[in-house]
Amino acid sequence: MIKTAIFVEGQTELIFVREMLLKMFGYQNISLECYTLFTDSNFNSTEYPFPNPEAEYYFQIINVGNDASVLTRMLRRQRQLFKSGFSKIIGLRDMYSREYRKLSKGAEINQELNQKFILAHRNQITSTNVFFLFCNNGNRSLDFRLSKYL
Amino acid sequence: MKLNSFSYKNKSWEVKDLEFDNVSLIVGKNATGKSRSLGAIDLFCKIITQKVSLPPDTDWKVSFSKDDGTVIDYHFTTIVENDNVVVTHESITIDDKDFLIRESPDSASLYNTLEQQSQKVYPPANKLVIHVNRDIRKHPYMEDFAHWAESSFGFKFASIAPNVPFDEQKYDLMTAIDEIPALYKLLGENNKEKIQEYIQDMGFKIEDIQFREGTPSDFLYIKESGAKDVLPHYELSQGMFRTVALLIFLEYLISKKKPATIIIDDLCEGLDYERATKLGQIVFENCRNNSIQLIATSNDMFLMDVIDIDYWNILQRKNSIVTSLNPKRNHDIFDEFRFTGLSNFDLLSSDFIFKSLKHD
Repeated sequence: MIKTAIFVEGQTELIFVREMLLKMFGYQNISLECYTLFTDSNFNSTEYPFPNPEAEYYFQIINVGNDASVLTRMLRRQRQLFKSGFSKIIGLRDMYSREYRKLSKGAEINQELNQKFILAHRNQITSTNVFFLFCNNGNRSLDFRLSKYL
Repeated sequence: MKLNSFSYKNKSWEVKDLEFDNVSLIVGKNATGKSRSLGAIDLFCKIITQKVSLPPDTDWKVSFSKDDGTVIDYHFTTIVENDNVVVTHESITIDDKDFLIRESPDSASLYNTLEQQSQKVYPPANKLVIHVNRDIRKHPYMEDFAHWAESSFGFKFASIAPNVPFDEQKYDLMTAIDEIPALYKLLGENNKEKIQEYIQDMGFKIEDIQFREGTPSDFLYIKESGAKDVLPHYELSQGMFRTVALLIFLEYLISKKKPATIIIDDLCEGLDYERATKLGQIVFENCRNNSIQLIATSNDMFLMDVIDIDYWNILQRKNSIVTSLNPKRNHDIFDEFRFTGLSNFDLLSSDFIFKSLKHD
């Protein structure tokens, strides 16, 4: 079984990723579980699972509750996840967060700032099997970008 | 009037340049001096209100700002001479203009607002000019200190415990007020309802709180939903009791005292995630909405994650000197951290600050 963990910032994103994965796999050969992880120690199963014990691909989608926690939560759990057989960890968050608006001082999109965000996030990641994606433009092209890492 | 910055030094300890906003959260690893820093602010307040004697061998630099933007700097130094505490320096500057200059223990130059000129005064060497030369028409600016101190209060969240009688608890700081049950008794029905709403919003199942007189101290009785009998406050869980006590303390101050500054030590200590984040938000929002300056210390990861780092003072200690990093002075570090996508608590727990300071 190929196991992948995907950390998202909210329920909308959880549902989005779930639907996208199920469509990509055509509802075949895929097993899916959903969890919330609002604090480092409160790991609870949540709605929208798609169990399939025979599937070759298993996805665990984890909703951490806010965009500022996605990277932190996935980095804190990465050792444990790799130890329990996960081969990839993917994080997903909005680019245009509260921090972004604060740093851009009202300006909406700033390519230089985007690059700085991407680089600073990347600098926190040390494993080659951990990936991080920013969502923008209403998630257009995210399915394409996410599929590259699966 | 609110506290802008605070520095304090005695023979064994120094707190350098803490800077405060309308609401501020002081964070730091264990033993960096969080409670000690609040203790120094508490001591300063008690010196101003003459609740304590002048401490020996100390140096104080405190800056305030008034609602109209005026900045008042107050500085004084004490030493010990022949077993007596002596004031060797005292000064007040308002918007950079000197109003008090005292360069020796027994004389000072003090600005007289009525006559619009400075005059010589001769204070006792062991007293502060702001104590012995009060005159609301000649030196009205000195009244601002007294007013700030008398309307500033504090609460040690982690020190209040359900199983200790109220008259034996040491949870208050700055200007003392009555015990929690007595404060509750003084509240109006609308204030009591507000407290109930907050408590229920935090997920505690409390239906009613009642005041009952007792000896030597009074009691609160709590009615939980579904429970047959009311419980005396000393049978509550620690988290519930601390929360109820702080909410009563806060509601009393807001409705009866028009506080200038409230300091809270170890805010949310011992609460779970949901309660800590909700109580933190209630306290911060109430202070912000009522123009009360809030200075809180915390080590609580949950609280730190929901309070914007814009309001943080991160304490660091090297030997006996405590310094602070904050967004006003170290905006580069704080801005850089925002790019990393890590949660607020990681600013304290990771090596980000160490690397940033090393890089500088």
